[in-house]
Amino acid sequence: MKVKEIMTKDLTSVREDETLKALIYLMEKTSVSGVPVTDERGVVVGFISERDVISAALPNYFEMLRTASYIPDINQLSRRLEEIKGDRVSEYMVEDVITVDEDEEDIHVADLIIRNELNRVPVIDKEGMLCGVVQRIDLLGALL
Amino acid sequence: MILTVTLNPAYDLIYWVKEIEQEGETMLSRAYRSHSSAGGKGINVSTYLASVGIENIAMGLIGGHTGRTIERSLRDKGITTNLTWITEETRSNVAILRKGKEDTPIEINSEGPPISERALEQFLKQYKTMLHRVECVVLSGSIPPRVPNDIYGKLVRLAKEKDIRTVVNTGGDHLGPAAEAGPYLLKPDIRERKKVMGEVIDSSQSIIDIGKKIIGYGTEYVLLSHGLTGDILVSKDKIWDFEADREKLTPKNRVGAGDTLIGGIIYQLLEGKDMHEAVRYGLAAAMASVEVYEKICRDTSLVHAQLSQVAVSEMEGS
Repeated sequence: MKVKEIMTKDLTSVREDETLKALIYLMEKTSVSGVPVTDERGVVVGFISERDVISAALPNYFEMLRTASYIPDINQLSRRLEEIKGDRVSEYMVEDVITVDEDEEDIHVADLIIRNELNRVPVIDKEGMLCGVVQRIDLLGALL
Repeated sequence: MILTVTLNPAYDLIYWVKEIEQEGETMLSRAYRSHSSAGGKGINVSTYLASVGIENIAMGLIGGHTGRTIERSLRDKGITTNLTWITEETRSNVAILRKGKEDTPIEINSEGPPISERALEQFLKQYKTMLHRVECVVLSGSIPPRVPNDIYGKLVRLAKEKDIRTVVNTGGDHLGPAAEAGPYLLKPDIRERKKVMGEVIDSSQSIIDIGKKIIGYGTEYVLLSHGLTGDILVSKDKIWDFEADREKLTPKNRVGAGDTLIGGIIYQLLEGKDMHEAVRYGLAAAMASVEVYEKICRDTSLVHAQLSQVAVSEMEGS
């Protein structure tokens, strides 16, 4: 089966020039943990997830210690989020985004999802424009 | 790819009742049939287009549980979604169809949630992005509170800058600015008010006169319905009258018929048909929809059966 036959035809995405505040609002409203980032034409240029935003809000030593127990209080996170909420999505997105072509076979996207432990993979057309996403559940649904 | 815009989507609830009767202090009636579906005029057009295999993107401002239900419904129909999420709940509309009077439904349409400046800005950003990939934009339906009256005019102009055809189907105060922007096809909605841009619509001549006035703004075609089975199409050079035999129609549900008309026109234009042929097909599709309980008739054989009923004639005064 082709990717375009199993994908969710959803163009929910964030523009690279949007703020983190706008991104958080979008993810909260749509209940997704990450969205493709596009340019003004709709071409996929990155991906950004909750994890990227949390990493941006956490102190630098978090990555090294791998525990939140060293964070003195939640206000520190809140203050940091307040500081960066106006920053552009492009500053924190993953630029080396994994995408799949809409005409690829489903086995290809399954392989991408499993090997890279992804929840969602943006699907692009021949011009690189976002035309949907494949989620793990889409694959499972197609397999049944 | 076709883009439909529904600024004020709704979850449509349709009830068929024998009659609404006074029971003590309450007007009570039990529905012998009901139907619910994602709605709003643009979404109805999307639903029709998807049913005939036309890829399309639905845009709109939605929120809350109702918004989620609409989103799910669109995806289940294979429609691509690019929605703008608002903080308020999307509205629900109710239509009551009384047995034997199905062609005069009681419709209760909510005003819709107020739209913030921020949400509208976000929508416009998404709209501009979508204009890079579509060949036709359908702008249809009412406008929710706090959205400026000239919004359709603005959306038409943005599309025209990219040489994209626009189809507008709306009524009320936002019709004028839309007409002045010169869409490719304008279908004034006169269900609530038999007035278009201040002119009373009460005869074929009044339709032709307002049609000619709108054509003067740069619109290529103006389509106005007169009753359930008649339409007049006005272009710069020609006027066509479309008429079907009203008596042969057994209405079951006329909600969404006007949107099926638009969907049928677009479908046929994409098939390479001339505008008057496309309108004839659209009217047949609308009539087929009126004769089924579902809001949109997805059975093309029923549309083809209606096609022979629609007569087309060129009118004097071109």
